[in-house]
Amino acid sequence: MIEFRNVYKTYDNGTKALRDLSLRVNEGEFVFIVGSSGAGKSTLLKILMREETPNSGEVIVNNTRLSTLRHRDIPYYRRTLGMVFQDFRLIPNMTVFDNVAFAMRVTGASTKAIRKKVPYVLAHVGLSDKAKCFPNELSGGEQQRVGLARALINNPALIIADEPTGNVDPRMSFEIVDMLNQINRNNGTTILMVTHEHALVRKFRRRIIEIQNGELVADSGPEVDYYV
Amino acid sequence: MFNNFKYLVREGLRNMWANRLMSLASIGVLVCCLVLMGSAILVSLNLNYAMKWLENQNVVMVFLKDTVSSSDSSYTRQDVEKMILSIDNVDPSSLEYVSKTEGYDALMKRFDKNDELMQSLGDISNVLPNAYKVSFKDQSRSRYDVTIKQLEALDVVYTVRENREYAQKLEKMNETVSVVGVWIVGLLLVVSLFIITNTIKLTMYVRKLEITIMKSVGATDWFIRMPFLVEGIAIGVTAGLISFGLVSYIYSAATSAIYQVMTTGALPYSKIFLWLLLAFLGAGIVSGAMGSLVSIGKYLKNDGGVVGE
Repeated sequence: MIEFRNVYKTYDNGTKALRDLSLRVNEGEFVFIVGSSGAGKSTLLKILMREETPNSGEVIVNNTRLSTLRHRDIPYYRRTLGMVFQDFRLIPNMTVFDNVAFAMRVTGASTKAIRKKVPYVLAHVGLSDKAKCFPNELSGGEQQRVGLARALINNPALIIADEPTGNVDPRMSFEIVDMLNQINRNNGTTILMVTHEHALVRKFRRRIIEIQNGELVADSGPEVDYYV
Repeated sequence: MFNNFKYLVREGLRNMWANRLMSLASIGVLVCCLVLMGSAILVSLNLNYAMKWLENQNVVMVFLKDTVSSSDSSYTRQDVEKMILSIDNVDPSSLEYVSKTEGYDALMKRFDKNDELMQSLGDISNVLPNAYKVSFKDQSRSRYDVTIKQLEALDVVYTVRENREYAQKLEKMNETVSVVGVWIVGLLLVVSLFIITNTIKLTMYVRKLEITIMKSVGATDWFIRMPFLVEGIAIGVTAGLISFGLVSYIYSAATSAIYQVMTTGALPYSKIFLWLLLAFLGAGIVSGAMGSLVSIGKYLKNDGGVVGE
């Protein structure tokens, strides 16, 4: 699903963000990526989103070799991913419905398809009654669930969550990660979640990859499923 | 795709409204630019029209010396006509006598007799000389000038009034209008492009988050660009229509005034309004679209701006 082969990334200002990073995540895995700030987690995600390109090494996502991806193909690649952000990234002057519909509209979906699918996904994250609300009328946890609904709307094979619980209170945090967990189990969606919260990581006991100074320092290995 | 198109057009118009102050400024400057450009072109077209008209008139007025017309003159009308016709380029069938009273009446037709100015002149019915209206067989420039010289050389002729002289004056005017017009329009075009670019940049700044999100969910460059393009074009179309209205009004007012002082008249409005409308809309759309594409182009080249910033 995801493969990093000897990836190096140095920014123009000389910051060495990634040094010889190699890792492999299989389809259907749930992976926590941990590490202190400045460890290279953001760079890892930026490379996955094809916002940045490595100086050397190879990144393959979903059989797409990112180094050979052309500028005009990037949008189509991104549609195969679902993104969840720490700051939710909801459009303030759009309702919950429209925020989710937006991600579908971008792909050229018909209004009919949008009207059918958005309520379904909103129900899935438990926000059916909030469809007409604006983001500022919702709690942090609810906003993040909208973000999750938006990430899910195009049926991605991979969801990338960038500290999704960073702005959410602890009780809701558990709920959000649990939702991701359910999505992983029920749909087989691969999930990559960057986080600081060790309590959550411990609780869910999924595969953990730790990065320090741009290097991989620990990998719990292909997940040992404690749940079953 | 059509669904998207409708959506994107609506978005563009919404942007324009959300940003109405800057949109208004853009429209204003663009209108100034278009009105000036349109006026310069119309003046030029009309001067050309008048020139052609004058040149095609092929009528030369040969005014006779006052002494010739008086009763004690040694020349009879037959003598004078024979002299004029002795110049072989003069078309004999065109020869037409215009007495001083006829000339006066023709002149008076174009002025209001009750006008204060005309009244103050008193009786001027006697001041115009008798004249002949003639046409030339060969109208080529060299032949024309020679014939005029020959007419002027005649003993009985006071002066020759020809239209080409006016035509040349008009040509000079036309050149001046063109040169000045091009400079003004060029300058204003730069200014209006600058303002449109800034309007769109402002929209983009306001909608930066939205664009970032659009990119992260996989919007193509065109999907992101479309609303801005629509906004630019809407500004252009609005400015084009306003300019068209303004210039039409000015033109109608101006031509009715011109009819009173110039026999040549002006290009009739009905003949040009379609072209005028198309030209204004075209210029508006092109400048609006260019402004928005220029301002967003740089932003789209960058792949980033999605995670973390």
